[in-house]
Amino acid sequence: MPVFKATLRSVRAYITTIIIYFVVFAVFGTMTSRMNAGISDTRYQDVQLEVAVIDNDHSDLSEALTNYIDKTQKLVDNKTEDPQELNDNVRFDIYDYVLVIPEGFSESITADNLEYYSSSDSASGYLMTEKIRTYITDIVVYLGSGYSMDEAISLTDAQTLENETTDVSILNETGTKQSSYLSGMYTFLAYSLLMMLSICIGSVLTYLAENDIRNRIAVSGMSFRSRYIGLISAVLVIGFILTISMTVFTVLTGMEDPTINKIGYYILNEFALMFVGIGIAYFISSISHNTNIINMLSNMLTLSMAFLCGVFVPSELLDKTIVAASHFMPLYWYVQATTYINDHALGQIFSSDFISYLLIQLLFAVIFFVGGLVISRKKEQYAI
Amino acid sequence: MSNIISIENLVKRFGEKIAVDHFSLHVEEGEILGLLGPNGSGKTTTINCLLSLLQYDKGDIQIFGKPMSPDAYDIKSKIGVVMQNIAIVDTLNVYENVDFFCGLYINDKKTRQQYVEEALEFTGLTEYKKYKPKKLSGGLLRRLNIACGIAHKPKLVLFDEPTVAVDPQSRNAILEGIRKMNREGTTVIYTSHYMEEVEELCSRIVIMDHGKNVANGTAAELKASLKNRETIRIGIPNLSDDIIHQVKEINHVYEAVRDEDNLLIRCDGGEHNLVHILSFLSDSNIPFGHVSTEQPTLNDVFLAITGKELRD
Amino acid sequence: MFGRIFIYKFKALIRSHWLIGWNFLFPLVLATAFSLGFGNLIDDDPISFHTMDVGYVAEEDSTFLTVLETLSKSTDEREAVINLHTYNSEKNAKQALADKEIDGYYLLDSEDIHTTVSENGIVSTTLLQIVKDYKNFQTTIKNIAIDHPENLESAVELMGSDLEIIKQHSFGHSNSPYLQYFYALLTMTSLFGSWISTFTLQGMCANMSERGKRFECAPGHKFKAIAAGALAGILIQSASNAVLVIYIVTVLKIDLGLNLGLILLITTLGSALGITAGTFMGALLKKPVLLVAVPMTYAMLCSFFSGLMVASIKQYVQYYVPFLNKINPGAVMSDSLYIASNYGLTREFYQDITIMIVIIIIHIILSGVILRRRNYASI
Repeated sequence: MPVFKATLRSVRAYITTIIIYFVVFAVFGTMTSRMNAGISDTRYQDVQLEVAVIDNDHSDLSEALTNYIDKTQKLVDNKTEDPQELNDNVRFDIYDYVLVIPEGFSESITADNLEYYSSSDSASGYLMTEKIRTYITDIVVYLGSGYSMDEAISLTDAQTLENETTDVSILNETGTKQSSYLSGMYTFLAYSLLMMLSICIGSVLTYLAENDIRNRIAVSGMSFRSRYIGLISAVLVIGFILTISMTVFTVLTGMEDPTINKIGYYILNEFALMFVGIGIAYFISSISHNTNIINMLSNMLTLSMAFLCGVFVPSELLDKTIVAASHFMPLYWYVQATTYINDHALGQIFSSDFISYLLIQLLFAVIFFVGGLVISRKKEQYAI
Repeated sequence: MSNIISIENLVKRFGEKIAVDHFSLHVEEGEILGLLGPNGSGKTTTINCLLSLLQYDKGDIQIFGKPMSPDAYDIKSKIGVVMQNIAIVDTLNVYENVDFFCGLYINDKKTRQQYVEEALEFTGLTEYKKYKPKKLSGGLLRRLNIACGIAHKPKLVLFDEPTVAVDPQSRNAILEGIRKMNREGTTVIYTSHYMEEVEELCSRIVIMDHGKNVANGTAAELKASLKNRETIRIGIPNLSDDIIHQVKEINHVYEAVRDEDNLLIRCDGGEHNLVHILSFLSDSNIPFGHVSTEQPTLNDVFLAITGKELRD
Repeated sequence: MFGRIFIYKFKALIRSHWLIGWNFLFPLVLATAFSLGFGNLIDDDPISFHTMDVGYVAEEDSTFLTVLETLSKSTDEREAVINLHTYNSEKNAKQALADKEIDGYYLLDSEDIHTTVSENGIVSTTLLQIVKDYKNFQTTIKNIAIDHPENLESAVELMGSDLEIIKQHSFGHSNSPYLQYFYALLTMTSLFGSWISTFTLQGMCANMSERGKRFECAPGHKFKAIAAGALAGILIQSASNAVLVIYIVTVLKIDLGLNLGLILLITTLGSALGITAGTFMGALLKKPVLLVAVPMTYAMLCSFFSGLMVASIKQYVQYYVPFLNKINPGAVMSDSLYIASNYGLTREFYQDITIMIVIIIIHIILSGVILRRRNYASI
């Protein structure tokens, strides 16, 4: 009991670390998950781009064009007219597209006067440019064929509206596999949870690894067994509390997620990751007893894994060799399991695939633990 | 002999608490002055004020006849400091540490090299030159701490409890070193709460309590200020009240009490008290066993002045 | 004396394990992680336009096929819009779609063009746009044929010609936005210098450590000593930056879009910024734990807002609170790298450099005022 209590008490020293990573999770986890969350849908929907229009012409034509964009896309505030800043805004996704309509545009439509900004050769830039080109071409053709400007605009507007109803469907067999808010949260959670566990538990373990303290406890007349039971149960309690608190936050913010009924599987997976975290903590604490270095190693290990295993950057975007290499890291299997839960219907999740993902994680936890054990033994042997 | 340090009416407050209370001190060239006092009596605060590290509320401090200030570089260059806590750079080895701190005083490379070697020799660290502080034992670290403070051959050295937590061997080496420096002309201020050390080492002692200078003088002078100069204990098998009464009549004996089979006699001065008492006993045919005498200690002085033990 | 303090501070610093770990190793690990994570995306941005694979199932000939064939030819300006696969039955096309061989297919029957895609997204929308354009073309022709049949021929000709309507604003060359992660990383490394600085200062101030007491008891100008310590810090920090830059460029083979000299100039200035910031913090703070926590938080927070974890964060700040980007040293430094690499040495670049210098000077003046004091109310 004394070891149990002392271990829990020493975690208090790392409360700032816990808060920092929790806030990172709470803020960025929710932010990215909300941004990327989509509902798997069998109904087709046009992508709506965020477009800023700078109209320096204020003619009927320029207003009609703006109006057209407003109706089919999402018109946003450009906030600036500085070319560099406009360019940076489209490059960094503040909005997708900027259209600049110069003064006198309606007098010389085909003088290549319209100017647009999009992230170099983005697909959205191509799409939006095509839409504008079609719209203006219609106007030009109508004007050239003897219509007035008003007629040309109303005809063009009418036919673009009519074309919106073009027949399209999504293939049922494939369906879209958008990632849900929950799956986004549980993916991001991996980073924060591993950081918290490896830093806090890693640092707490150093207290007890200090030779003097260990010897003092050893001579205290407490049995080896009760000492280690105290230590292990304290570590597990810390792990449980951290793990549960992240799930509580995720559930509270994800109540409206339609896949909330899968939460049990996500939690199961998260607990597998908890053991990995504890394993890493033990491993790192065996390498160094300096909390500063523990902090650093945790950062290096967890951050790298998070990048390579698809926590920050989806695996599909990573290089093939990297994805292959990441099979040798526990986080990869955690992310795989999360994706698996997301992509399968509730009844289909519990499968040999899913179980093997969990088991592989536990295996990694054991590997880290044994690794730590070997290092501490060697260190004792050579008294480093 | 000239005054090297003169502190007049120094007052330092920390909020409500008065740490140094109208403290005055004069140190003459060639002295080893012991600043003795219990923990928290204001010794270190006084030293920090003396070094201009601390702002003080009142008083005047002169060193080498000039007012001390943070920018009094000419004064500072002649002072060496050995702090109570170890003040060294962990990542530099023994030689580099001494060289670094010596380098703050001595610019000439050749002189410095010689001084550093001498300081290492002096503290017995020559063979540990290349060691990192982490590898040194507690006693060696203390010695390094001293080497860093004295390498530049200062005229005045302040030792602030240099022997705290040091093994007896290192302690003796340190004390011997200080004596040697003093013989070579260095004036020393030595603060401690170990009275034996101070008594053994210092030519003059100032006792501090509650920030005040409560006593001042050589060890002998301080003890002389006590009424009790000598306590004589004699084992007398057939001790009667009559004998006690007769002993009390002897010159300089101001108290004689029974302590089981022993007679405790306290004398307030004079010489050959023991001879007088023993010859009285022989002359009166009173048989007696073992005889011992105790000289008063500084602790007795402190007790007499402040009413409490020094090592509280 | 300046030289000696410099040399010893330098020695003391490079022998500190934590320093080598955090300021040299950690950035290298992070750069490697970035490179593994984003290396692919720098060369090929996932949002780029790529030729779409499209299936085509038709029972009879149609002008729509002509349109598709035109689109499947690459021009001088751009790669082909689509890569056309023809199927003889919808079943085959469906299978190909399910197997992800194509992004969608068009089915032509006597009435209409039916588009089938596998998921919502930009590709699907673009595939549908092709149909919309085609239908729009038909409607226009129909309208003109009714209202002004005399102009029909010229209208068709006009539609077929490449009208000059819209062009992209061009800045010449531009680099991948993903490079922002690396600029932010260089910023983080530079600002880590603040930690070096509080550490150095600890040994020089009597109210911070015993070493500091000994230091302040010695004759000699404190400023000179602090300057020597700061210079040692800047040198080490710049070296760490140089190692990082060379590692990114030569080992990770990522083109930062800037010449080496310029990067090193900016990162050295950044190191000076980090170091002087640390001196300022050291002047203000006393508690040892804060002397580590504050510089770390400062470095991480500043570099976070310059895009260390989310590349676009700096631009979001620019959009909503542009003022913040002018006072956040991290944003200013990464912005100078970004601007120099994308737009060249423009007015904004020099503005960034000036702000950095001004911040450095403010740090120096403020630290000077605080550190001038050499005796303390309590230690």
